[in-house]
Amino acid sequence: MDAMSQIQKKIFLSTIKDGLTEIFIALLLLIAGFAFFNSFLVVLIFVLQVSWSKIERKLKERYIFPRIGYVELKSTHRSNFRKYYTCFWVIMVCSIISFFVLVFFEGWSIDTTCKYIPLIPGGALLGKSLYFCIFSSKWKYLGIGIISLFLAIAFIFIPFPVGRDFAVYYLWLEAIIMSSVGSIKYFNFLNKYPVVQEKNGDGG
Amino acid sequence: MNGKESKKNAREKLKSGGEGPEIDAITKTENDFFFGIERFLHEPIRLQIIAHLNASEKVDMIFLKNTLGLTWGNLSFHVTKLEEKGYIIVEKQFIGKKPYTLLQISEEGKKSFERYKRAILNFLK
Repeated sequence: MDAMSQIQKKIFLSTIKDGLTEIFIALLLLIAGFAFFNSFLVVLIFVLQVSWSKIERKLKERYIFPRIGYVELKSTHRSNFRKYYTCFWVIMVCSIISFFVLVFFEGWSIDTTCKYIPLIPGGALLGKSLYFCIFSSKWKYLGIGIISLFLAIAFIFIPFPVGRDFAVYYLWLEAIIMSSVGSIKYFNFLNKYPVVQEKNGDGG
Repeated sequence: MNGKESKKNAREKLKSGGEGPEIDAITKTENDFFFGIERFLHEPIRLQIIAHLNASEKVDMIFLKNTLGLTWGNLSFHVTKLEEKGYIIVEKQFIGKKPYTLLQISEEGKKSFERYKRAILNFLK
């Protein structure tokens, strides 16, 4: 890898070390779990997803930029998105197909649907972790995605009494994992980077 | 290759702009270069700053200070030098309610950095 790519990846890594994305994903998963009890919450998930970029920007302006400064990634960096989206949708399509095939063979019912539905968020989490992996070249980010998919598969073999519990417990467990990772990252970030006041000229 | 020959070759390369884009003959002299390597950019801090700016769209002073581990005085000194040379564009901008000093590499800066990369590779061949 050439030096410029390494610098680009280093800059990208510095933009994701605040843990905000993980906390947001945890929030989405938590609400998705509750949505099995109150379907109105699906609207909240949709609203959160649509408005996340604005919320994230506001949070970063208030808590992140005063600590590590502002950086705008290079536009050529965005061309990597094509690679990411291709991988993401391949994983998603595979997850959705596996879900339908398994439900089809076991016989359609609410219980079987709920039993196999964790495969879809599991695939989505693996896809999302690919984003961090592709842009930073750090394989550790792929680990969380692989664990998520592995847990989704493992949940199929756990005999829950109510079908809905497969999905709900999976989503909440993932929410706990993601919020733990995000919180640790965020508090490390706060400790490591105090608020910096910009000085001009001949400061020390 | 003896010293005289190498100097002559370097001078010819400089005149023709080496393998890179043409060197501005008005603002830069032969003394500014060593085998096509621009002395001004060869300074490690300036090189780090320009490399980080080349790898991103816009960066602010706090980010550079954190990433490069520099003091404010040192950073602002080199930023001023780079700005005077026309290699970077410095602008004050409000992000949210807070003012930030944003740095961006200029076209001249990009050209010089590319030329520097080529020159250093040629030199080490």
